[in-house]
This record gives sequence, structure tokens and C-alpha cells, in this order.
Amino acid sequence: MPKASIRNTRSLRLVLMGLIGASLMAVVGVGTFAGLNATASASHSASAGTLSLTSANRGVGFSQSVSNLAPGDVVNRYVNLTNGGSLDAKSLSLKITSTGTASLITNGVAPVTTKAVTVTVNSCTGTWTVATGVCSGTVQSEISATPLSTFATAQDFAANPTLASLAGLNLQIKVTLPDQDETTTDGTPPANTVQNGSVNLSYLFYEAQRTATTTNS
Amino acid sequence: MFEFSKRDSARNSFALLAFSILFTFTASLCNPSLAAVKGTSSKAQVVTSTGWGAYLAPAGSTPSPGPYVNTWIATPGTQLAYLDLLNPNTVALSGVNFNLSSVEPNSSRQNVPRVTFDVCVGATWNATTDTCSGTITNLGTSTGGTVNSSIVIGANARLSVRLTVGKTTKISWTTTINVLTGRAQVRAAITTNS
Repeated sequence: MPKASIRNTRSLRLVLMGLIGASLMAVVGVGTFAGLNATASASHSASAGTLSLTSANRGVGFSQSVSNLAPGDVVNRYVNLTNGGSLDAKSLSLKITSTGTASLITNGVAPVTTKAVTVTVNSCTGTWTVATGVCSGTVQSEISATPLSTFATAQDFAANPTLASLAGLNLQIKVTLPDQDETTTDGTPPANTVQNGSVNLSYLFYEAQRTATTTNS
Repeated sequence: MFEFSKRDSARNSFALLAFSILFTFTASLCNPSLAAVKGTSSKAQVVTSTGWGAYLAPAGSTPSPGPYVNTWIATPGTQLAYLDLLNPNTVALSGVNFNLSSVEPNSSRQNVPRVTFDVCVGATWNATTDTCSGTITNLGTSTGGTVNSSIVIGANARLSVRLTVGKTTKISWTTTINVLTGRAQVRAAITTNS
């Protein structure tokens, strides 16, 4: 046999070995689901679950800015969070990325006493009446009042960390500028002021798939 | 012979690489734990805060924030100054505090000028005739220290103020007036649902 032909045969042999090996892996893996079944005509299908998290405004929700907060002001906005996927979800959390006026993002460090904007998340077992902020069921605290800077790390939902497939959560997003005092002199606010500030918030709701399960059937 | 081994080795390496890729791909398909599913939903929002404060500026001047400073020259009669009290912000004020101090070089600080604050509510002081077609509201009188007033100043509004200084016996006095505004002079906090 010519040398070139020997070389091609060796390479082909190696590729075939690879394909066979990979196929064996696939067969072993699928076998985990298929179990031992000697019937040649048996068929099996497997589909992956999905997670789909969406948030819909109730009232103006996130569609409008929160403007001209004075210390102590509270603005409540309402959104419905829905897991539209086929899998149950866990580890519900909210991360907020904030850019803009530093004093509205991070609490002052002594001797600076400014207090940053906080966000609170509550859920309602019934529905919220947007105009009044009244919950027809029970109000549950998901995330207590937390400064924007802390939201740089995702904050977990406390009362409802899980969300079943196709289920929803009725949320109240409470934006607050904590009460605090500042003296403006001759029209000029003090250093590190919370006045006339602006912050861009980017909310990111997050869910993870439920814990993986092993089923024997 | 050397060339043959080199080419052969290259082909073998290619074959091993193809096998490795295929193996990794197949293994990942067979291991659901590597394919964890996540869901996210993102929204954006802008949050702004309001400001508060006021300042005095000579009437009719181009206003800019800062203290009001005036030097009174010795005169046997009364001296007047007409000012604007400006609120450049979007929230109304329920009052302001005036902090007044007067200095006179080489003085033992006797006969400090007495300054009186009068606002012409609803109109503007006429500097020529020293008249007000609106309502005159006296805010207080002081030779130094703080004058607290509860005069309301609307958002983005101005009030017409007259300063009256009695007889000044020193050669000159320089008076500085600062306008101080605290949180208590801004509307109460509100809760909004929308």
C-alpha cells in the first residue's frame, strides 16, 4: 500500500475513533433519561424548560421619571412581575445600577450626614389600587428600604423568593428621599447637597431556574 | 522520513482536536447542570430632587446668588435700598431668615445702623416715589443677628423688598445680609401613588 494511503487511513481512523467515542457519550447520557428499554421501536423526546421574566407597568410604573423629590417625599410605582416560562423560578432578586449625583446614591460618611435615595419593594397578595396605594390582600416586604448604592449588589426578595411558572407578583416600588435638613445660604446649597440632583436608575429583576431534580419513572 | 513524520503528526493533532471538540459538546448536552436557565427583566427610571433657597439682589439688576452687601455713607437722614428677594427653585418657600451683620473699620461698634425690612406684596416698590401699590408687610428690624420671616415666596418668584436705615453717624458702615433657608421652610413631605 502506498505511504500516502497509509497516512490517510491512519487519520481517518483517528477521526472515526473520535466520532465513535462522542457517540458513545451521547448514548450514555440519553440513556440516563431513557432507562433500560430493549424495545427497538421505543421513542423518546426531551425538551428544555424555559424561564421568561417580564415586568409590566401598572399605572405609570417605570414609564415616567420621579421628579423634584424633597426630603421625606415618597413616590410609589407599581409593576407586575411575571414568570412566563415553563420552569418554576427561585432566587428572585433586584439589582439597581445608579449613575448621577453621588449624594443621592450613597449615604454621607461622617461628618457628612446626607441620606441617599432608598428603594423599597413590597408585594401584595391581592392587587394594588394604584391611585391610593392600598393592597386588597396582604402587604409583604420583599426588600426593606435600601440605599441605591447597596443595590449595586442584587438584593434578594424576602417574602417571595420563588415564582412558579406562569405566576406573577404584584409589586410596589417605593422611591424615597429620606427626611433630612440642609440650610441653603444666599441661594447656594451646602457642599454634598442632596438638592437639585439627578440619578439614572437601571432596574434588573432576576430569577434563576428552580433547583434541578432527578426523576425516576 | 523526517518530513513524513511531521505531516503525519499534524494530521494526528487535527484528529485529536476534532475529537476533543466533539467530546466537550456531547458531554455538555448530557449534563443538564451546565445549562442552568436564568430570567431577567430590566427597566430604566430617572429620579431627581428639588432644591430650595433664596437670595437678595439689587432691584432691577441681573440676579445671581450670593450675599447682599451694601455700604451706608454717613448721612443725617434715612437711607433706602430696594432689593429683589428671589426664589429660583420649583418649590415655594414659607419664609426665609435674614442674617445681618454690619462692620465699620476703626469703630468701637457703637451706633450700628438699624435696618428695617419691608416687603411690597403683590407689587413692586417704586424707588422714585418710595411707594408700594400692593400691601406693605414689615418683616422685622435689626442691628445685627437674625431676622426670621414667614413671608411666602412662590416657586420661581420674586418679592420686592425695601431696606430702611436710620441716621448713620459713622463715616461708613458695610452691611452684609445673608438669606438662610432650611428644610422647614419648604413644603411638607408628600407621598404619591401613580
